[in-house]
Amino acid sequence: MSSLVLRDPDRELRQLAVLSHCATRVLELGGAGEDDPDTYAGVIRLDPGLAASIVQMVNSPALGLGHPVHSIREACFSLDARKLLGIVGACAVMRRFPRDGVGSRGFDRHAFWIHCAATATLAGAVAREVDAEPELAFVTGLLHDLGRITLESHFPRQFRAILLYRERHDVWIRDAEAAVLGFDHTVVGERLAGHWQLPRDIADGIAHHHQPERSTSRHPVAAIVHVADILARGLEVGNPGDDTIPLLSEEALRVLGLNWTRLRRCLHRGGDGLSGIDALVDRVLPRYETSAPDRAETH
Amino acid sequence: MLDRIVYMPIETVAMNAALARPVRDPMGRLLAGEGQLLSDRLRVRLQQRGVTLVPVHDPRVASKPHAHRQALERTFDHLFRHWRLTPGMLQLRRILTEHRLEAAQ
Repeated sequence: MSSLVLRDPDRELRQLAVLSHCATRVLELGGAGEDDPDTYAGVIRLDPGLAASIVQMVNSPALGLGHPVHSIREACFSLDARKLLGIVGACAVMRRFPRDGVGSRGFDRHAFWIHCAATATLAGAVAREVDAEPELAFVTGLLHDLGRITLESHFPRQFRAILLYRERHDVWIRDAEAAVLGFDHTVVGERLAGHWQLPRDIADGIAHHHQPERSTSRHPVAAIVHVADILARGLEVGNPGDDTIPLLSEEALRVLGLNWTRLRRCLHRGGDGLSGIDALVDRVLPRYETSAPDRAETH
Repeated sequence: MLDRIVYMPIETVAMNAALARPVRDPMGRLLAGEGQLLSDRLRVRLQQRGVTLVPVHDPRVASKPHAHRQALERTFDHLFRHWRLTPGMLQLRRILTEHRLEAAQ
């Protein structure tokens, strides 16, 4: 098992290819407090694939913004900078992991992204129920398992060992990750979100969606995504990488003020939006055309 | 859920199927009430009084939700296998089951 150890995960993750230049620039502008929609539109326009993905996501019924846009400029003007940055980050990250790229045996990337889109849709529904920001919840839901897809695509040997451990011991895949690597996908996702300068609330949701009580964000996005992830697993939409349901945190329900009646309402609301997630994934994710993802495997 | 009533030959109706309507003889006298289960004894009694067809819920419609629920319970037995005795998870399972059965209809 020693050959599977990632001696310096931070260094390994830094070596991964960065997001597209345009996305990086937009996220840098956001970090510097830029709020001019024209500036954002001008940068995003330089990457037509990214721009198309953003327009598709803004128009997606699953996101539920309700005001269709026809160009990246319209998209930039119809969203405030905070929401725009989240959507740019989500599209840029998703485009780093094409749905039909070379994947690990026993892991279906397309089904994985469908699970993420279902979690996003349900997170939006939970956020609406508790009067939080549905757009932030949506994009965090899309990216909540960023660490897992990173392990799958960039550390294939370790990921195969994780799948094997999961099968042999019939455990939750997160426990298998911790047993094989000594840390889990939330750690990888948090580091990568920081490395890629994704908005802080999104990074917090990625880091703490399995332990929302550890969140330091003012926004309860980690608790929202925690609940949404569990509901998506219960509805069996897509495949997160295993076939079990993690323990629902009572603390998350308490923080959100959710009882069973309200949770049922979230299911109804979110369930209505699930019909649009196939289209969302199909439109935002590119087909796998370029070279294989960079591998940063430790031998 | 059980919204379709059909008249079936009494000998083909499954044992203990519920009657969907009252059964009466040609004089209008009640032989068996609505909801009564068609036991072997009742079947013989009705046949002795000349009843050949009885009203029951369409088994093709009635069995579908039942089969769906059974399949769902089996799925959830597996998904929730690590939390069989946890009260919160049992409650979660209940609302997921209700939601998915409603959605299936």
